[in-house]
Amino acid sequence: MNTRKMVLLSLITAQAIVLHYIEGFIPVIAPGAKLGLANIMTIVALYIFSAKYALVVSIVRILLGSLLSGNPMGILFSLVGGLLSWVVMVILQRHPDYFSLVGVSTAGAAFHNLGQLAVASIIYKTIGIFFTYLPILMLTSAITGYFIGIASNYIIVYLRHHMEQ
Amino acid sequence: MIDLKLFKKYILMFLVISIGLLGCSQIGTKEYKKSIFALNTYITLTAYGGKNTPDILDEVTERIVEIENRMSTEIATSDVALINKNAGKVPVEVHDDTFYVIERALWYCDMSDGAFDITIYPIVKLWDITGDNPRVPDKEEIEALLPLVDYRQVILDRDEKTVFLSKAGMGIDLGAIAKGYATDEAVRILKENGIEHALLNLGGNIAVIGDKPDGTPWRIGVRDPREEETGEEYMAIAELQDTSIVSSGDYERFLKAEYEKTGVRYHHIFDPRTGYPADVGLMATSIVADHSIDADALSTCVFIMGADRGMDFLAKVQKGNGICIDKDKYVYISSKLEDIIEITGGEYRLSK
Amino acid sequence: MKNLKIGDILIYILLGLFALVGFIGMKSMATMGGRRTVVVLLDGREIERVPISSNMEAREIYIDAGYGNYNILNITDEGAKIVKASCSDGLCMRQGRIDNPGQSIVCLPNKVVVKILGEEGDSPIDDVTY
Repeated sequence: MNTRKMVLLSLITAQAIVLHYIEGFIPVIAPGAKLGLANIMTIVALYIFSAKYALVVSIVRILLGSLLSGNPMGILFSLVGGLLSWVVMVILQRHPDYFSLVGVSTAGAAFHNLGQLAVASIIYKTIGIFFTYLPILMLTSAITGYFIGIASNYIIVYLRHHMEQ
Repeated sequence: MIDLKLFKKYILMFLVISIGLLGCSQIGTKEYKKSIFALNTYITLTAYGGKNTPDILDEVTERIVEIENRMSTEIATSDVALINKNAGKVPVEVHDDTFYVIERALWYCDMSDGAFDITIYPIVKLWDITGDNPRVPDKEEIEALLPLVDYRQVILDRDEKTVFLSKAGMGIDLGAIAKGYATDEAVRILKENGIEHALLNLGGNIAVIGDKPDGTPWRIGVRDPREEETGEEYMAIAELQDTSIVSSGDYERFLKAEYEKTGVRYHHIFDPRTGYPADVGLMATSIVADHSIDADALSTCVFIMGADRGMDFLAKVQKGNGICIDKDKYVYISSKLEDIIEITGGEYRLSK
Repeated sequence: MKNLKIGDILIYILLGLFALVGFIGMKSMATMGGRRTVVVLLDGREIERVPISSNMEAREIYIDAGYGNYNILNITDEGAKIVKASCSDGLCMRQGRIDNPGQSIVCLPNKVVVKILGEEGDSPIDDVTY
């Protein structure tokens, strides 16, 4: 890994943490129905670098971001969501003929939420919250995933252009 | 210059730390319940903790039974039964537990100027409201026993840890305070074992440890004293953290046959001056206090004193705050409780 | 890149299906109404367990507490109630009918506890002081 790559990766991770932090200030319409801004950086790392580095960005962001926003209890929820989301995005990203960035980002958002919901259902020992939140979270994932995908696309195109220089 | 190996190390470190944090956090805790019959009532303990919580709950119930075995009037070998048996004869050496509770009880007898009196036992026995042969005694019978009701005749010896009732026929009943002590002991054992969230219900005496596991306060209903008429289980809700709430009222145990015939509720809380069930216009009172022993004693004091004197008494002793419900369904609330008690029963109005 | 590809459409359809599963799940949980079971304990031991269903036949259970002591428990689709008892205080009968998970009837003299189990709904309180 060269210095340039290292620095870029650090910057991406740092930005992910900042986005995670900023998102804490944005009110949500339903518990867990977040914009998922930080996911932009995971997607950027996935497309610019590789699956491995996307995982690094995602995990470091979740750990540091959760501690920073004073919510260490959220770590377990986010980690499971983040890992599930990463797995799905990596698989879809390998098939660019069938899935665009928007698709990858939307699936990522949806599975992040699914993972969190699953953990919540297990911890609170009730399947009820899983069903109750599923529709609203799928709807928000579809909308935010679309825009996050477009936003990521701008950054990726820009970065690729720069790196070729 | 940062290299990837170092980076990997950092990530590994964070993973280990966060898993460690999760291990000690609430995600590893579960709800455990245990119920027993003891202290003449039904006790339910709910605690949130790790795998060893059932053992801790066992320890708590053993302690409660131990307290019962020392303080019940009905167990022939208990300290209290022995004190009563030797009334007018010899001082009886008792366990530290019993001595402490009697000492606290006598403090309340003194502070309340005899409104609360543990030497009420001869009167309790005469009416036998909670026993097998409850009845309304004749006035003469009651008056004959009243001279035996006098807490100043209980002689304590702090060095020898003995208790002596100076007149034959006297007797003490710790029923209005022992449950409170048992509750405090239960809380102490749970806390010493690291329990941070628990709800204890000793026959209506409630104590809560911490807040609920989800971080919100415990919500405890205050029994509607006329549940049978209103159909509502509770008439107010108190939001509590790390405290105890105890109630006294005319609704729980009373002579039902007599009530249906005459409309008079002969209940189980006696006024030591008259030898009759306390009748000063209250249906119920609940006291919130840090220590359940205080809440328990105060609820009996206030119920016997009535709303006005009772509220003044609470202000005087500074051990707890309360809510009184009078027979016209007016509710009196200590100013310190105004923010945490919400009246939900439609027929009840706040008195000013 | 801006144009959606076939897989993207499939993902959106999948999300729609998930949402539908949520709706159906919610509906079926609501009609189940949280299944309830009446459990009878005698001195801490479980002696009877009766599920409550919406059009069940009323049942009367004789609880033998020993030494001639008893409680008679009536169970219908509206809950459980002690209708007759040998105990002197009759408190168990006065406690009326219970129907919500978490509620219980206690008869102290006979050491009988009747409680309703089931997924506890959003009760506004955690316990009652009395």
